[in-house]
Amino acid sequence: MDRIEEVTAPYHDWQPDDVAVLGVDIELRVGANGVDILRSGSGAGRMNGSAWSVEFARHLQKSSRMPVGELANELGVPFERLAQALLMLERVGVIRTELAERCAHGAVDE
Amino acid sequence: MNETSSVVEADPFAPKVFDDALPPSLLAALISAAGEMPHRTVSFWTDLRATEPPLIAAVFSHLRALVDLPGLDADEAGVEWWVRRAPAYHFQSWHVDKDEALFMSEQVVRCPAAATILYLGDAGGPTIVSSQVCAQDGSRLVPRRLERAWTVEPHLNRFVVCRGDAAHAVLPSRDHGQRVRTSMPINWWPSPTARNARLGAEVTDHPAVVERMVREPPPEASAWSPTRVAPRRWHASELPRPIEQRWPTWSPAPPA
Repeated sequence: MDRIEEVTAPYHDWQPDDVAVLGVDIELRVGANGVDILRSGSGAGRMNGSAWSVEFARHLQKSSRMPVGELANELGVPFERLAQALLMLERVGVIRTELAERCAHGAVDE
Repeated sequence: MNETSSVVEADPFAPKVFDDALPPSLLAALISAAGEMPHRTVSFWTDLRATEPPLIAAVFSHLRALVDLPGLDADEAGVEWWVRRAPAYHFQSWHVDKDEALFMSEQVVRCPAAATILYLGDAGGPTIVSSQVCAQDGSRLVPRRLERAWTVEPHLNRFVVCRGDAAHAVLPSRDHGQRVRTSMPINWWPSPTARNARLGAEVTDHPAVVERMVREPPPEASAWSPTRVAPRRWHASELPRPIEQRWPTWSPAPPA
């Protein structure tokens, strides 16, 4: 790390390649007021609010396997904001990402 | 300042960084055990006087000398520790380590005597440590604006010792974006933390973890000596974003 941009705006000139997909038994229903999250057919939560989160849900529904950095561009949000959503959704099991799966299974990259 | 410089920071807010913190055989045993440890699901409490599990006791015995705080001589002193594995592109935002179980139950901010990290691999972005620290009532960072900060790159067997109340964060890594960043955060406390089902758990209450840790630690290397290295230092003019903007609005803790 040699440049100040890497400290103050760490995603300024690169984007992560991780891919997010829906978790097992998770279904999303996009409605007029947000996105309902169903787990095994039962209501498990909601993604409220912004237009980009609705579009994000549509990408997940399509299983587009678009790298998450590219997806942030497509959604028109800074990657930092998408990253926060990914982290929260992954923690509650709504999505899985390739790299998070490796973390869960004890991978140690030296 | 180059990270491998032999010059040691005199700034009292600067983190202390040591390479080759553990003897290689002990490190190898720890990495093997850590690869099977729960991922971010639970943190453990270990008394500093404990001799079980032997692997963990041996690790803390080595590292305690590097932390070098008199408050850790107390009978009740101990460490809270866990294994952190995260995608290397993740940004962990600015925070101070605190007694999370206490905060969840009483909204009181209590920071450890020292917040430390043992890196279990080279992958991932640096830890960045601010000269701002948590006010005693837990309500804000002081000073109000960021004045200087230090970055420490992950490196296998590197150990970084920060003030327990220092704000810090983990930066994403471009070079290791598709790799797993693995570290062992260890907080050092003069007395036990509060506990709940997930935080500050006794290792002995988790038989599966004990099973992984019961292997005898390898013999200590004779005359093992970690190397002190200097972290990279950044000035406020290079870090223009005041981090207080990200500080959560906590209520002040009630008087003790």
